[in-house]
Amino acid sequence: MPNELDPLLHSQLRLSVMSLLVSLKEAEFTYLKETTKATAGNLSVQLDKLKEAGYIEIAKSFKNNYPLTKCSITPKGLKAFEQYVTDIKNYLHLD
Amino acid sequence: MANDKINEKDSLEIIRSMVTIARREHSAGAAYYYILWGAIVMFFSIATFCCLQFNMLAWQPYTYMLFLVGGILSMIHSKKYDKEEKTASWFDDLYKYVWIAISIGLGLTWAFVGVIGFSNIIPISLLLYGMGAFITGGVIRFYPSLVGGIICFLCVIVSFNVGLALQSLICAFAVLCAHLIPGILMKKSNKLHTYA
Repeated sequence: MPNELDPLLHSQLRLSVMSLLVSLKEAEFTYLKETTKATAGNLSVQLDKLKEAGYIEIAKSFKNNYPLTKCSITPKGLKAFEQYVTDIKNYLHLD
Repeated sequence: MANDKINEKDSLEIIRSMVTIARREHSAGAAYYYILWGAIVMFFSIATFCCLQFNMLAWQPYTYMLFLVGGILSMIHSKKYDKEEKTASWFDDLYKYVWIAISIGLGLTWAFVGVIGFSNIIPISLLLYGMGAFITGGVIRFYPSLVGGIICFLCVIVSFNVGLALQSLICAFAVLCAHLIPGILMKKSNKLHTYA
């Protein structure tokens, strides 16, 4: 019986963000927004959910007097993502 | 992208496409340095061959200016790229430390040319160069760089058995295969080729 898929990751935008952050050490908010083609508001809400779950870290600073938000995946997030991929494969009988 | 519900197959497709996009991010920056340093070392090697083959040794010291030009262009590009860069890749540190180590190795090798001997300096330099191309190509799964590294290793074997002038020409060929061609391919395709 396959595990239940992590509901936090089993959503289009959150999964896209996590997939990007798994491959990159760090990504700016604007990059995530451009790549996922999400609105700023929606992306912000989803990032907060991932941050509350401890899956990502968000660092806010300034660059040339403009606010800068950088996101990176946490070890907990990486583990959750790996588990999600394993569960998906089990679900689709890909192992 | 909205936060729509997805099925399991969609999930895998999302992961695949996002990982591919993320991989493309760091290849864009790497391509510039592959092409720049590939061209510089190749032209330096060809110039050295001409100086040795056609008895123009008085011009040989001027060929080192190519490395100064390369250093300046690298610094300018690095500053410009750092400003525009919106991501940091796990491979950035790999590139940095591998090529710093190779550069230190090359510097030390050439500094002690009197001990190592002129006939051995180019094969040893090629060996270090090949290691850099092989390691980075293997880790980032970029097939042309991996193959270029192997070609470098083969050129090392040949270089140990020929004269200095021909060694320079072999070095130019090796660098063309290990750096210039992979760099151009990387820039053109802007995506990584897997070898597995």
